[in-house]
Amino acid sequence: MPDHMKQRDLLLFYAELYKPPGDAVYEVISHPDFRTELEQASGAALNDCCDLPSLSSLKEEFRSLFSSSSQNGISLIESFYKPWTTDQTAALPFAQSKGMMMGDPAWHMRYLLEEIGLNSSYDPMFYPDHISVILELAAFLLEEQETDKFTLLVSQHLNWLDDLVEAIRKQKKDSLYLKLTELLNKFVNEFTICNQSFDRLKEDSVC
Amino acid sequence: MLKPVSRRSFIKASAATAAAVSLTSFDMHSWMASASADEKAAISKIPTTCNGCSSQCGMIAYTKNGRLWKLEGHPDHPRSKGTLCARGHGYATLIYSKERLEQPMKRMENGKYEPISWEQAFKEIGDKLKEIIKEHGPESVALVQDPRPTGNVYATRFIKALGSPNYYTHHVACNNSRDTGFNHTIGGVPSADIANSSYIMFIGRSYGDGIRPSSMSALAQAKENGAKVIIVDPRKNNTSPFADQWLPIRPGTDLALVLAMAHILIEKDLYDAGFIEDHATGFEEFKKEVKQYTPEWAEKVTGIDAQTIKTIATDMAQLKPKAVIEQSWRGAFGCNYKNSTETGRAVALFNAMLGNIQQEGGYIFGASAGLGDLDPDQFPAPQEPDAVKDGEEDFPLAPRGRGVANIVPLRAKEGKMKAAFYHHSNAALGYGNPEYYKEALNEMDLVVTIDVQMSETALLSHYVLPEPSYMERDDAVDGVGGGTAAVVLRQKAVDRVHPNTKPADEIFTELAKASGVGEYFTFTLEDYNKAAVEPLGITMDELREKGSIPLEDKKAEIGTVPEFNTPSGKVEFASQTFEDAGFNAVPTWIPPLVEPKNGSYRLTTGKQAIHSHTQTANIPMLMQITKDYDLERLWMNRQEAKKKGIQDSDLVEVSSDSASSTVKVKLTDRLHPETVYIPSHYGITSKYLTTAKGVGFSYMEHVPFHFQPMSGCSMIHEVIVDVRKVDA
Repeated sequence: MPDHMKQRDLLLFYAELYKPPGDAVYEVISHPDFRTELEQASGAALNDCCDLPSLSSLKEEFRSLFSSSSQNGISLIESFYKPWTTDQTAALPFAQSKGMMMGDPAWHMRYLLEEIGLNSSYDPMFYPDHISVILELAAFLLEEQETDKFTLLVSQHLNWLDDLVEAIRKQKKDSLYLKLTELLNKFVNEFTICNQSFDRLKEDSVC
Repeated sequence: MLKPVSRRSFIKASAATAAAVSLTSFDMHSWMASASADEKAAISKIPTTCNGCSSQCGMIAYTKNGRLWKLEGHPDHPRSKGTLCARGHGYATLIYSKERLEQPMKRMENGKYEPISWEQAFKEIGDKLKEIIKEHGPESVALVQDPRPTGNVYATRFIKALGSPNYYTHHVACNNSRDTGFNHTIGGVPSADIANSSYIMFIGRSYGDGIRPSSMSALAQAKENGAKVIIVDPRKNNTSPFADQWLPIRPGTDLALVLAMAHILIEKDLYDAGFIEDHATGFEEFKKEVKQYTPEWAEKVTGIDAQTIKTIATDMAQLKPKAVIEQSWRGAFGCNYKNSTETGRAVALFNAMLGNIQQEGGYIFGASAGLGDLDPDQFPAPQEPDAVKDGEEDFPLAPRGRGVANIVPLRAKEGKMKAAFYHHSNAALGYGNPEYYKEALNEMDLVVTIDVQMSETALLSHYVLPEPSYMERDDAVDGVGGGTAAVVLRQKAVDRVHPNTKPADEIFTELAKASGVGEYFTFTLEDYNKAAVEPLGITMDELREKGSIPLEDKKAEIGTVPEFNTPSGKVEFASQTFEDAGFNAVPTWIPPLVEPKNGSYRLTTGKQAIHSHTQTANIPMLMQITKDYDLERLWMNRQEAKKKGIQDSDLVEVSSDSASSTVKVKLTDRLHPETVYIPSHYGITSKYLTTAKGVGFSYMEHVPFHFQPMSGCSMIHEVIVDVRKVDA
């Protein structure tokens, strides 16, 4: 399998990982070759981790870490980690604040999904800048071999994973989700360290 | 191997292609710059109403590409008049808050909440409700809300359809005592014509703290006209910049002050005898009663010197009818003391003695909008339940429509109330002692909360049903009474951020269907709204475009005294209704229930201009103002603090028979020495509200669960506390 397709599958795996866990994702992480294939696809090493929890424990761990029905649930929404808007014409007192939904990233993601024709393909109960939606769009771009667009998307819409890793670490240091998110972050950082922008891509399409 | 069975992979979307979007548009920075530059084309202007407090001011929401962009006060709304307060701007943040309820939730056996589908929620609630009604009767079900337009239509109809009379509102912890006093005396609660008044007394009410923009501008206008303003309050509140005089009254003795002022009007023959002759009954009995309430007597009770009382009463009489004691809301006598209803009666009667009713600068009964209703032939309405509302027999004087909401936990503990719905209401923290509420609601078989955030009441519920915020939904048409009545509409300004929320009209309709009474809910919100505006000669299209429309043919008639909505049709200085209920026919001095002594204090509370009840405490930008200025601190008189070795910003323990709290202290000369004061917006305990949790404490934790004898109110200032430095 070509590398870009391995990376596509890696992203699709992660897209499922950040949804309430079911049999399919559990089957993947409990496979004996899981760690090897994950590290190969991501080009990075997985930090040593805890024992594999049972599916029911994984479900409870997901609920306690990420569910909105959980106290102190960690957000998996990009907007939450960034200023609500960079548009200086916004006259609301909270416009530049962090910690809110439907910020610029959500607006941009919704635009991309609509323009590409994917808006009807994702569950309307998901937010446009939910990490799973971003990862699925990234996987789609790899599938289409739209490398520059993939690089822009990952570098601009997944450049908040440091904060997500830190939020998980604060709540549960020995979480499987922490180790897996750290690995995703390493993978993504390969694209974000260049602080990619369209202008930069025009000058030098390879980082 | 890595690729799991994807539940919603985009790869399957065959028609989709990334080529449809340019590389430039994929760059968020470039795209944002381009989209932002397209400002004019993308901005929409939607007139709607605020929900930052009960005033529900009109506002204009500007949206850009479906997101909120700017807010301003609606110029035609009678309460905003073009201005929006800090709460209004700040509370709008709720739309984009992470800590909103996003989906229906059920409390599981382990006490944790799990998301469930709407279908499951409606079915389980409906089945349980039918079971409860079958076994215990519809009287075992109650519905409580802080009323808003859609709830006024749907929630009231829902509980009635179930056959239960038990509908209650938040007024039990707000202004029910005042209204009980006013209703049985002058037949309702008018509004003071502040802008045109020459002499204004505020008793506990502070426009500078419980802000309504139109009230502030009216007061500013009165001051420009040279009006004299007196503040009667144990605390020099934030209306004081407008005041000529602050009377730091001993808490709970406002009744004595007003009775003594009435005494002066009678003794000096300064009252409006013509008005009394034509429009009042029972005045001779009242005269006999107030003879004993001399200013000298009142001085001993209130701490305000007798000469000041005489001067103010005389000055007000000289300026009548353009002199007024403002009617207040919760203020000092909305629900605070054992004597609050009597204070309400005395205030209403003092104004009547000034002959200011329906006179410029006095008390004005406003015009009502006169909305229409659904055609019962087309949409059959449920019958009025046969049973009497629980609490009516215990508190026959209390406003009947609103009831006494704290009856619900009382009856729950007695095993009589089995199910309760709480809509837009944090009763468990705001209406009565939280510990009592917790024990009581845990006794019930079914508690359902409908709200936008995980409040303390939601955390005591079996089911929690999420509404969209007020900016994301359409509401029922509402009428605003006043000098010129208006018809107003809250309408959706932005798309729903959380798609799995439902507005109250849909929730109550589905609950009714699941409970077997769906035949009363065959109409839509739009059907109701059309019926509401029909008698006004206005279309919904017009109302949607304007948001707030003054009704020029619905104006209060100034100068003509109306027939009063009392049994006699007159102002009742002596009330047979009160006597029949076992109370004195005329207002009589009643001391507060409890008194501080030996270095203890009365715990008092009040509003701050940046918060509303406890609903705004979790708004980060509003809470940040609290934190920046340490607004959650306990106020304490500087000299009293000195006696106890307490210094400014020390951590103190506040203890009562009910609870113990720690908080920082603010030392001030602006407070009566017998009281300590805590703002009413803090003490959130819900772990789901991380911005608010742990800031300050709730006064209600210290208030015993008790009922004011006349109105059933919570008597929130009838609590004595000790204060000590924590490390002392």
